[in-house]
Amino acid sequence: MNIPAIKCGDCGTVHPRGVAVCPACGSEKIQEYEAKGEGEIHTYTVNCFVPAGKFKDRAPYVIAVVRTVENMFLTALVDTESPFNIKIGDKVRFRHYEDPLTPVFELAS
Amino acid sequence: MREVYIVGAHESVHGNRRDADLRKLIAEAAIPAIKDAGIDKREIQAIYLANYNANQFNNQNTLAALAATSLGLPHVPTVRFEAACASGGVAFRQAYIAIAAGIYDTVLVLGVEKMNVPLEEADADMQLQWAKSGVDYRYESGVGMNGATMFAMFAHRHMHEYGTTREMLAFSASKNKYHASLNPYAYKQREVSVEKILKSPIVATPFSTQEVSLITDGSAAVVLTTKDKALGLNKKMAVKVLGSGHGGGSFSVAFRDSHVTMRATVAAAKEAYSMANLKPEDIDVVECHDCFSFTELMNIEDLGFVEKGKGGWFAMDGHTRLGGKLPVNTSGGLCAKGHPIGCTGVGQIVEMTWQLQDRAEKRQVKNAKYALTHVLGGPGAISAVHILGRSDL
Repeated sequence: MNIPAIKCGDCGTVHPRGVAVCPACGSEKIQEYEAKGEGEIHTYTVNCFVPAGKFKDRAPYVIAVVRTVENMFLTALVDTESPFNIKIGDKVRFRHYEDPLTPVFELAS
Repeated sequence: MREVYIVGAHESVHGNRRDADLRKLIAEAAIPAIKDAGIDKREIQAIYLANYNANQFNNQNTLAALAATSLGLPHVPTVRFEAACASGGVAFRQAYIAIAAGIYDTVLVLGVEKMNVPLEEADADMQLQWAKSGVDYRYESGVGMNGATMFAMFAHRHMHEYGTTREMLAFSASKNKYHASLNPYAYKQREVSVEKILKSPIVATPFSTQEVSLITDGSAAVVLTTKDKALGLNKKMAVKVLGSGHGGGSFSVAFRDSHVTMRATVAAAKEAYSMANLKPEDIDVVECHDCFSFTELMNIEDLGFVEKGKGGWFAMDGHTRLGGKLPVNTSGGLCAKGHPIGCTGVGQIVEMTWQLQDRAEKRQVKNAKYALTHVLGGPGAISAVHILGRSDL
């Protein structure tokens, strides 16, 4: 699955869609772009303390900073049955936006 | 620019203060700070108040005006500053600038936050939502991001790149619990062993319940004034503001140039050291923003006290403990003294003022001449650094 994104016409930065200017260089020359949903875990945490709200029944669950093959960084969930086995460098692929604010990845292997 | 001095400082007991509302907290810090300064409160020309989220915690906006009126100073001009966890440091800097520029001679800087609220007013979920509203709602709230998860991710990257260990994080946290055990104003005044910290339930890997900042009620106040006025009041006890820095970094946890360095801290420190004409090795004592156990290790690197990546080893060698070569967070810091968000940066200034006045009692660092304070707001988005010195230098 591709990820709706923008690409900067000046510096080439790729970023999830929703910004008015390039967040890296401030350029207004941004174009819509479909980012490949392939990447790896740049860093992560297993969120264990969720006393209430929509993630209560999901905990412990993985929140990660994912770095895609285009060097796009985004914060996302990584859906896995073994959250405590996650490590930096694990390959992941984009599954979908669970809701407009929540991108979800899964392990690629 | 005119020279600026701290002439009065005080803070409330931190904790779950069921006995105190916002007015009481404001009074507990401000009235003793004004008395400490030895001025008539009518000499205060402006009140600069730091507060993160009274509008949600307490259904109260425009808190600086409320503070002025509740202190019997309804005609004093006021403003509230919000910069997430950096609010206190930013408010202090703005007061410093106003006096240095000659706009005012005497300003009261107040920090206050009342985070513990009765559950009939708010359930636990709403309380957490309010506490974490300093993250980017559009891009990062949808995964359940909060302070712990964002700094947990910075911690894991630091561990990956430099070999920092959970034991190092726990060791630093245990050191701060010890400092708090000596501080009558701290929320948790008891020692906690490294073993207990490591065995406590996990909040967000790698942090246990003993490695996270506390939901805290508290207040702190300092009186800032000109050199002439300060030296006329009490030459020996006045503390000079030698340097002030304010740095910016990305508001995104994901999209930033580093996950192991806070650029905002590096920039704020550079500005403050340059203004003070001092180097990291000149500093005797530090209060830095240890919102989580790991954060202190990253901060002491970013502030220039130790090479990038070596913060954990520096802590393990005991250098940051009272009696070490660079005591850090003598108050106990955010995980033990507590973290009443808007108050924290002002509380750091109070602790360092007391250190430079030889009034820190059991926590006193001998012969402390230069002190540094550091706050960090949002995901490393805002930092304020101040360097203070004794007036007799």
